[in-house]
Amino acid sequence: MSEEIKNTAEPKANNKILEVDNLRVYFHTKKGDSKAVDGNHFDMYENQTLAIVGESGCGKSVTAMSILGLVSEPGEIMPGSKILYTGNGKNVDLAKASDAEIQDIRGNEISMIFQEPMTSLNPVFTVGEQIMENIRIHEDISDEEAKARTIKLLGQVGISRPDEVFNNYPFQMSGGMNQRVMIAMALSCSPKLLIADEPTTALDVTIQAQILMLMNQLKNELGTSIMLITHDLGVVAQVADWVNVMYAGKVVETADVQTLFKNPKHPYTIGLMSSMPSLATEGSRLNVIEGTVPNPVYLPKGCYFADRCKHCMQKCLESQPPVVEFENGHKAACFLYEEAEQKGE
Amino acid sequence: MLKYIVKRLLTSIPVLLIITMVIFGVVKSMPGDEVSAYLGPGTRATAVIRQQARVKYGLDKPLPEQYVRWLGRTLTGNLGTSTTLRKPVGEVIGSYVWNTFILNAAALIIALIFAIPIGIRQAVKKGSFEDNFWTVFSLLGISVPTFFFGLVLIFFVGLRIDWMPISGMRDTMLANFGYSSIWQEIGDILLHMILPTTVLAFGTFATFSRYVRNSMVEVINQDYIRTARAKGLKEKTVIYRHAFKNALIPLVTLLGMYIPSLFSGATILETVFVWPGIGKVLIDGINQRDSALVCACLVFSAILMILGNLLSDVCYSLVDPRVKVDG
Repeated sequence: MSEEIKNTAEPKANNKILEVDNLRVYFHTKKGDSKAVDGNHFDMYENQTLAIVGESGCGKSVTAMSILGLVSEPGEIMPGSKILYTGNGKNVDLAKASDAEIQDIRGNEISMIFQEPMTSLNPVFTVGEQIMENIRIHEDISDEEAKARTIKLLGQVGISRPDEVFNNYPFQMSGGMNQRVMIAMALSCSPKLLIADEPTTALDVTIQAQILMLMNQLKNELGTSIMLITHDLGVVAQVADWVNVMYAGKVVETADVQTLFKNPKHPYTIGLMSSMPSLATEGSRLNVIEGTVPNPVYLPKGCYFADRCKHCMQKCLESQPPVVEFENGHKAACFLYEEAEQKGE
Repeated sequence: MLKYIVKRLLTSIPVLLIITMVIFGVVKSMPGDEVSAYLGPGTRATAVIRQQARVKYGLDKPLPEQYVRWLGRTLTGNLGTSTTLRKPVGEVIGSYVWNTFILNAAALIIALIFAIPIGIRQAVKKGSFEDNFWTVFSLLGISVPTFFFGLVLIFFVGLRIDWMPISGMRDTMLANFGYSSIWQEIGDILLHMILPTTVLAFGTFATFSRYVRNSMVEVINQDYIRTARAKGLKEKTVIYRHAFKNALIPLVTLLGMYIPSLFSGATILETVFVWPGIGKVLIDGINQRDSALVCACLVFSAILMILGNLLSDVCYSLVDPRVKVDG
């Protein structure tokens, strides 16, 4: 096993709330184990927004699912994985926790917003019932109090006439409205950590901006940490404090958001950055990273990005790249910087 | 809602009229001589008497005229007289329909009691041995014909082991000489119900458990079930509240269609077990060219079918908020 990237820098002197260590999630398929997440390390701190970036199938969503124990058959969080939740004075390893322990944390201390607001709400219950349910299972309060709080939450997420919307069914509302409902539900018990799995992908651009602003505002008001899973670098630039770039189940680069955008190191990150459409380069063709992500069942021996990398060397094909550390906790897993590091030492 | 129901009932009148025409036409074109049926089996009647009977019962008129007369009588509530049972048809249906109903209702309830939890378990443990076992079991229930399973039960449980009565609804001795108490009568009927109910329930269970399973499998993979889990709900709540309420939607439609069949009878099964229900009466009527009785039974079934469709549409709107019925 090679070294793996671990973000150790504390962006602010805040308390650590989540420590993910050697997280491996395999899907047992007929062809063999599909290594959706293969050795993921990162920490999260209070009031921090961590963005996890990468293309489809790189393991971002599975990472998020595994934190809440929502990985289902044939997926398995492999033994040796550690997801230590330390928020609220607790100390629970979510990879090993019992159903009851996890159910107590879900929706209460760690909550999640999903990609498709239209299908993520139950069609046969009113949105009010669905939010109230979340409050009622975690807190011992009366129906009236829960209802009052639900209406207040709906107002907080920018829904006008919240008392009417309370009795609406999801199909009566737009995607943007439903996503606000999802956010209200996720925030209903003032979670320590909010996991947002591509929360704006299904929404149009104006609504996207509103939802992101809303999340940022709530983070500042409630001190919630946000794990934002996205493939949209524009979104990352707007809201993230810290970024993990994932490729084929591994974090290939980690840095604070400014460093990452100014000075990306890993060829994959550089590729991602140059693939962003920009008005400044009008007229030229959009850059793309040639090739596709390797099949997670048959991962190569060497660097997973080698076959798509412009700088591929012989050793890239033979062994896993080392983790090279730059300043302020910025790290990348790549042979390109190996020598520079050795010279520096 | 009321407006919708009234509207649906009004629009079904033309449908019903066409059905009565088809029924009347089919019944009249059955082979055999209707006059003989009126005169009674084995009667050696002269041509003169036959002609008199033909005139008396209006059988000499052209078919359209006969139809209009029959329809007119039927609409005023006079369903004619059964030639085989020598009783007014209305009375026959009114008494036999309840025999059919208790049999079918018992079978449906038993089937549902098993089909719902088993179907849900199958969906939750999809692909497991348990799931496959019940799949095979219910495929048997769907594909084995009722008369065959009925005969197998009669042969083994009824004749070989002689555990329980194999036909009829009451014990002949007891029925003729009187029951000592109402409880004895109920017990006797229940005992006679066991075999036919088992056969009926098996088939119904098979259909419903397949429906529950497939509909649950579909629902369990939906995004909102993941949301429900992410809220921290117990798995039981996720399955029985969030998933089942959605899976119920197609089930209610099926159930709505089933309710009327509780009254219309299982013809073959009632014949196999000599159960005095509507289905048995219908078959006997057909065999003996009892046209008044057959027409009435068929029209009765048609009405039930239309009501069943209406019922399932109404129920559908009750369980699915996305469906609104209005005028």
